[in-house]
Amino acid sequence: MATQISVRPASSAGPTRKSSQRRRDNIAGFLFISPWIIQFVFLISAAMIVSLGISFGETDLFNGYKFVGLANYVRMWHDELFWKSLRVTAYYTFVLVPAGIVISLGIALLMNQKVKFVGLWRTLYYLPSVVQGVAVALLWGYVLNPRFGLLNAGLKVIGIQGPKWLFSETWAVPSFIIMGLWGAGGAMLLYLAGLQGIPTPLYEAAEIDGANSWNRFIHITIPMLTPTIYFNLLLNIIGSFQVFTSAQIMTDGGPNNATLTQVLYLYHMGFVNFQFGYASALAWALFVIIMVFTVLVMRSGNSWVHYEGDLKK
Amino acid sequence: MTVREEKAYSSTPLQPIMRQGTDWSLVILKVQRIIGRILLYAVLASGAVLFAIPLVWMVSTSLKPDGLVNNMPIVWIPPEIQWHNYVDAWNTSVPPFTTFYANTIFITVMNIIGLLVSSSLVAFGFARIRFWGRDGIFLLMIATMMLPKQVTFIPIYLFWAKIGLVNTFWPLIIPEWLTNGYNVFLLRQFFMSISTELDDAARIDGAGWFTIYSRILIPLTKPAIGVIAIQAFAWNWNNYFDPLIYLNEPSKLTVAVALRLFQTQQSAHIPETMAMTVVALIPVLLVFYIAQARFIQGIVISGVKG
Amino acid sequence: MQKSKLSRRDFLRTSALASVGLALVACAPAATTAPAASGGAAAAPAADVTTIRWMSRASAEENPIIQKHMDEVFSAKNPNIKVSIEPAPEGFEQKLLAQMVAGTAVDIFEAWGNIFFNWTERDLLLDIQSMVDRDLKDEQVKDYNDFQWQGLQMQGKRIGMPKYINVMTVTVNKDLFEKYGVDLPPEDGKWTHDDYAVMAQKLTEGARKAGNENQWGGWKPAWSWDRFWNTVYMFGGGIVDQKYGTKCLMDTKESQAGFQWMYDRIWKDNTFAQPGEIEKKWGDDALAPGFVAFIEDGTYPIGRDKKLGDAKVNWDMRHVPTGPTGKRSVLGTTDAWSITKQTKHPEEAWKVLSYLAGTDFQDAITVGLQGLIPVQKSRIANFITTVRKVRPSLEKVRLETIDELLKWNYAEDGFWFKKQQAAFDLINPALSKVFEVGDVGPEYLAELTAKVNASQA
Repeated sequence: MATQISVRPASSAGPTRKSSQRRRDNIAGFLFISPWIIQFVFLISAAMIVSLGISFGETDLFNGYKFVGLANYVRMWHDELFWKSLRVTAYYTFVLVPAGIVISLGIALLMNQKVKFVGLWRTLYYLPSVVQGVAVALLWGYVLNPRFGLLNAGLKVIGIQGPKWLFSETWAVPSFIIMGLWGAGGAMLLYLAGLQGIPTPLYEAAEIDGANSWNRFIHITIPMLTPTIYFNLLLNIIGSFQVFTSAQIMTDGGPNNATLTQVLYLYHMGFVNFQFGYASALAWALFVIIMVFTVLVMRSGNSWVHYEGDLKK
Repeated sequence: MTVREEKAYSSTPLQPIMRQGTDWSLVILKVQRIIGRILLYAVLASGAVLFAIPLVWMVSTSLKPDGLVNNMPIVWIPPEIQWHNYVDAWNTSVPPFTTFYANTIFITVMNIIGLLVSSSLVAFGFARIRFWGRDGIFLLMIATMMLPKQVTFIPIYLFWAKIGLVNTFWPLIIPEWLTNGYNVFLLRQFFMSISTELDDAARIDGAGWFTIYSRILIPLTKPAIGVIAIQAFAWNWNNYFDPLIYLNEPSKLTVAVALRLFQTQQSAHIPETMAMTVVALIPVLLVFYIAQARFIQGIVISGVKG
Repeated sequence: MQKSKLSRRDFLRTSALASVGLALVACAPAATTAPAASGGAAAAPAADVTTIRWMSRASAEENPIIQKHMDEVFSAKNPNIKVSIEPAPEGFEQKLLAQMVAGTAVDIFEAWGNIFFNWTERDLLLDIQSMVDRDLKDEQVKDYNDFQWQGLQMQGKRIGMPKYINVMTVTVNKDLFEKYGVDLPPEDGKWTHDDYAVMAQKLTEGARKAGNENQWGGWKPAWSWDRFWNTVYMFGGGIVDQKYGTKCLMDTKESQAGFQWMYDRIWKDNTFAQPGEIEKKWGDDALAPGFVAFIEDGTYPIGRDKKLGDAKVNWDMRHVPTGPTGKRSVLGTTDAWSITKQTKHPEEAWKVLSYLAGTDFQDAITVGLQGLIPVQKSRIANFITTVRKVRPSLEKVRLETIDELLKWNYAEDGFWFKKQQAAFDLINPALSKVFEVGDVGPEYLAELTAKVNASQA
């Protein structure tokens, strides 16, 4: 590591240089982020504006558009199924996200140990997160089968009569949470990368100070991983609130709408019922809900996320 | 490096125990180590059983005759192993899977290159440069991920159709070359965990932003770059929805789409589907294995072991 | 650090290079566009060849054969038309709707009842009635089965041509009947739902006595929107008062009796398997591993005979029993090919469509390749001989049942509310609660009636 030079910040220069520097930084900043700006301007923004506009109207996308103001949003307020889907989605998200973080972090810590054939172990743990398509649905059908399934067979060994999982209104969402946790190896990768970035001297210093491994974990590993944890927390909240494919393939919202997630509901409203106005309104409501939680997490982040290179410092 | 390791080993965090008598403490240490190791491997192995089940099941199913697929309890080792399922599945589709692999590899490799370049540039901008509206734009970028794709894909499809690029690989490649919020956010997090002191030093030396980006930040965040490459590979390789929507001709399909073409209402073909799913999984796992060995080395935290 | 001074210029140059690279890559796929789907012995090139795009749900194995057939046989007869198949796996509805919004939809696609219903409501399908009237002879029209021909007339429009026939029968595993000493259902169909219940009871008891806890008499997907109503019909009940009606009939005494019969078999005696006990979706997934001795399900086993053969299931098919009213009723599906309204070549598309639903294609592909039942009544006899030649294991299966079923004309395409989807959205979750979860009885469906009626207002 390079010796740490204590530098005088550039601000020591005169005011004119400062403002020209700022202008140059503005230009440089926009140049660096220009790929995303192009994407936003040409692809994303229009699509978002269109769907927002649709959410204030009635349309099947083919036979005209009628502006109805906030009617779709009012309808949502009185729609039992909207509230049900919100509960299903929130339940799924608020159990899966924290549990997922703990498990994937745990796996990452294990995978960061001195273990023989560590690459093979890592690959094995990573595997479930990249199995795709038909295989996932079939496999989980067999794992969760109430009578023959592997999961209930395992529970039987320890003397528990397993529930009916996907065939029970109570256990259907937990089934999806288990399926989600099984993909924890995907996030493991992020934590492994995060662990790489922790400078070894930090640990050495702590060791010299007599800190035991638990203390080192709490006072060095965790704080240094907070940017990664923060990322996972935010992105998993954003992703889990939009859970769709697994619910569509495995249960299509059943039994009795017990797994009717928000996106499944709005998909159904749009692509089956052709009420794209209402579907878009549901999507924007979801957008707002996710935004609220995201902002909450971001706000809280200021107090617990530790950036070595934070510009705000 | 060697100096540092030696130092780590020679440091004496367990001195209080050592004082009680050298032999005794060594024994305790050794026993602790052995128990720790045994526990570690036990946890690893039991976890691995859980996580390996899919692969075992898929391979087993891919070697069965159709009639044994639904048997319960699961027939793990079929009485007559049907190796030919692999050959049949590969060749019965026209064009054969070779074409689908060529298409998928082309798209995936293009997209990894594009994503790595663009997302690191954009993430650097957000993480390191103070510019007008930065935090607002960043929030906007995160916000674009919050609207379900189900209500935006039709307008986007319309855009590609109007400029005549449906049924080409373009709608699959260009958006990746223009980055996405996920990867930018991830890299930004890694960039931000690197001290700005290095930038400042470089700037005093007269280095521009691009130099700081390419000479300082990129080399220091290799693990994160590796993660993005791995994830971009897996994501593009497995992406089903976009190729389904944008590609029409059979000769342009990708592996993920072709995998769903075995199953129709009339014909199940589960073993063939599983055979091709296993084959499709191999590159993803290989890339992961190689990339993790390259980017995420073994133990760096010298202090946590034991 | 000699490069440091170049910073921004460096950056600009790199991004310029990147965009050139992007542009170069742009040419690559564009170049590969040229050798399109020109497979097969191309038909004699005519002056004006119209390409008809067909979104096909056939499998990876079948599509190329179908493409070849269309090139060699159809295009030989119609040199001005070339058919180009575009495969459509799961999720094709979203793709097709996106294409329709963009105005680039395929000309022909295939789907089934409820999709057709919803899409007809949005006026997305071409009404082919006038072409049918103009081009099809009376005897050709009469050769189609009523349930399909009428089923494909929705909201006053003829929206498609039938694709194949799928009707519900009782498929039995003969070995299990023999093992437990239970008589097979009679071939002539002279049996009732009481006999049906007793048969399921005996088979289940037989399995229990033999120490087999994981075997049941039968399986019927009563939780499925298109399979639950036929029992109700046979008990003299109904779901809705008339075709495209608005009054829900699930609370009548007769309907409730029908629901009760199914509910009791699954949840009271459990002589029909519960969905959680075996496979939920496909009957042959329950039949192949020997979980059940019979299924009341579609004629899929004919096309999937290899699977049952692999599993060494010695199977046969019988008519479903009559209900207490003496009526017999099963689902006959309305899977069909349809033309999108926005097609630019309606005449050519119709040519293709009528060919697909015509006898040549039905004999060669529907029967010969896929083992499916052809849509013409006059072709059934031929189907039985042909399919047995292609699939020898069917020699022992009483395929004549299908011929009789179609002659006796007891297949129906189900119930249609005026606002079908609104009714579905209420009935589906209730069905899953009654038949899939089983925590409430059929009275739950009766209680739902008022809500369903309200949804039609």
